[in-house]
Amino acid sequence: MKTKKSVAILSRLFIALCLVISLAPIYWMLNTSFKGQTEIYSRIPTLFPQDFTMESYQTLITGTAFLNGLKNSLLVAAVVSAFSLLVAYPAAYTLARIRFRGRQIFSRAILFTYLLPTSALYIPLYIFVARVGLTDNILGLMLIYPTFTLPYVSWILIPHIASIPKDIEEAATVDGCSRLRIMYQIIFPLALPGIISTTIFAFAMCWGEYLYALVNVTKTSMQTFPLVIAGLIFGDMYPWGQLMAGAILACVPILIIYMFASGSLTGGATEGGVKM
Amino acid sequence: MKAKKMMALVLTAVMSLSLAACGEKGDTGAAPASDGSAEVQNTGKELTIWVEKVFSDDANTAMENRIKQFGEETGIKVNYEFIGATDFMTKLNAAIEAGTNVPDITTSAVTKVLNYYPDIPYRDVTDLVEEVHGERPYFQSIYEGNKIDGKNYFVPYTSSSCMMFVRKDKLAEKGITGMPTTWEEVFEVAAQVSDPDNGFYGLGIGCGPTDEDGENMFRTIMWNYGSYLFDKEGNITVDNATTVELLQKYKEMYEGGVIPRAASTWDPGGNNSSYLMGESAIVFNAPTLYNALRTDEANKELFENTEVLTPPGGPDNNTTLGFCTGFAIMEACDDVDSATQLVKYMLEKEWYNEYVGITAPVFAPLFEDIKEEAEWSDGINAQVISYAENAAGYYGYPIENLKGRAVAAKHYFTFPIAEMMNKVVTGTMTPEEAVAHAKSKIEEVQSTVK
Repeated sequence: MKTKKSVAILSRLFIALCLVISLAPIYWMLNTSFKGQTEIYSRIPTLFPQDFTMESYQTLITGTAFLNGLKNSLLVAAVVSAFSLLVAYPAAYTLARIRFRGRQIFSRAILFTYLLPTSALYIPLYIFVARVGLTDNILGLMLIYPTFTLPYVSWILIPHIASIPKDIEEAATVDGCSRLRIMYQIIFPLALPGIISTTIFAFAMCWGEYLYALVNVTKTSMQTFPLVIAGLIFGDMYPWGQLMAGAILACVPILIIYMFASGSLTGGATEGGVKM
Repeated sequence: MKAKKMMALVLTAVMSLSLAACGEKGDTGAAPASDGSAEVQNTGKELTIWVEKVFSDDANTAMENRIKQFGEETGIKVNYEFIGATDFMTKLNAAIEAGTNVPDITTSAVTKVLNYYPDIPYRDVTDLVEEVHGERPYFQSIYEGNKIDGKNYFVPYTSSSCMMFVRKDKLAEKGITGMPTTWEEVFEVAAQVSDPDNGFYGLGIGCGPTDEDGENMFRTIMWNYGSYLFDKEGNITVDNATTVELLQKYKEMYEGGVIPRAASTWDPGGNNSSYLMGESAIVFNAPTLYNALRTDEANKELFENTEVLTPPGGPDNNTTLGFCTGFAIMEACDDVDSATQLVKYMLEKEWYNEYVGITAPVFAPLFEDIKEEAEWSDGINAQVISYAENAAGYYGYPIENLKGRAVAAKHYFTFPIAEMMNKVVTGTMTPEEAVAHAKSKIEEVQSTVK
């Protein structure tokens, strides 16, 4: 009994330690964002702002194109992640469920596409976007981002779909369900936790993407928020307060999405659905 | 049912967002003036200029207004963008590599030009520089120092500097009344004022792997002691006794508590932070640090206790590194006449003087006659003018041939000197090994330049 209690206490302590380590950078971002430049540069770092100020947030919101950048990022990330899901889900379903010649090749091709480094792709994709006349436009980014979100979503969804017992599908077929209905009305809801978490990750990938946006977008009105934040750095006196305020504000939409989606992330929908 | 609702919600959101995104395109096309174009009468001519953002919003705004004014006066549509220095080359390289959307005019510098060797994408603007120089003579160091193989690839515009910031109060506490004028004196004074037990260090020269300030300063020290990475012909000469001695000296100062322990992790902002937090007595930095001290009321005392001077000299010379930037016209530019017209417009004397007044003292003007202006005749402005006037060094100095200079420019971004310093103070290598390592790395770059 005593041992169990000790293990429980130790586990909690370990979790608390992990939490402190993982949340410390976020805390420091928050702490710095409410400090003035002098306090940020003080020799002894302060754990709490001594002179609490919202100046960094004010400057960021009123003096830069940050809000417009957030809007652009939101548009691009939402459209691309939704589009990726629409296209990747049938692909993942096909590769997980249907046996056909070349399935392995397709499956591996998706992985290899995902593994292609951004540094090798950004020039060819820039040329492509320029040829279709979409440079300096977030539509160009919407065209580029699926090159990494589509393979990612497909690759992650394949095992999710494959883990759903086939018996459920077979039962639906016996009941006269078409393949399309099975795919969207039977499997889709069962794979929803995986689909939601993958979509959130795809959203986050687009949300913080930097290199493609940097190369393709120049106009301030078309910049995504990472570009706006990076644009705050010129010279060797970094505006840490604004940079941290930008990072904090940029976390908010992702946090909101996680909070709303967390309720749907519970697995185990198929448990007990089939006889073992 | 819940899933259906969620799907419907997502699809509705996507459709709305997509429509909004399409609307964005129309808005931008309809109102380009709000986003960087100055268009009044359409002459059918169009220019695109990319300007590297400078530290001051006022300076960027002044430049923007000037470009707009040019558009209004000439009827040439000018698309302009101000891009942060960290992103500038990545964007430009992508455009050049793709061969599309290359601007007509960009800001540039000697190292940037040389990095493209042998396919330099900038036009030879020697005639334009000669014309400008004929009308308003440049400082000789600027006129000569920015030529590459006898040609100019950009029109020199302003020059930054690397000044010495000294805590005169800390020197006074130790009874030191004069400011150090040689490196030996700097090292000596730094050792005297250091108090590592109380977190105070004499010299703030960093050696983090990306510490450009540390790299530049140690290179200058090497030059001043007669040690060069290359000779005039471009042969690698870093492997010499003086470099080893200087690295040993740096290591001794680091281990002796004269240089902050954290200096081995600094980036280019490290020495600024160290000085602002009252940790270092002497640092070398662009006058951006001066502005930070001057403009923040909380730094008032530190500002009053700070002396800003041109860097000291060494036993061999007092050569310093030039940081000149200017306007380049790209090879891809279709309307060179209009581009030339715009560059000349930016150099119009009255406006130029006003502009450099805004950027002072971070950027110094480059013309001989400006020294007579009251604004530039004393204080830190006079110091930065003096720096610009005498900064004869360049990356790879004293190489004279084009290929050798290209090698120097290309290897610069690997920060070989900061790496040497870092390896020595962290005990990874001895000074001799670090020098040999640096030599082999430069040789690697050299082998790639044909």
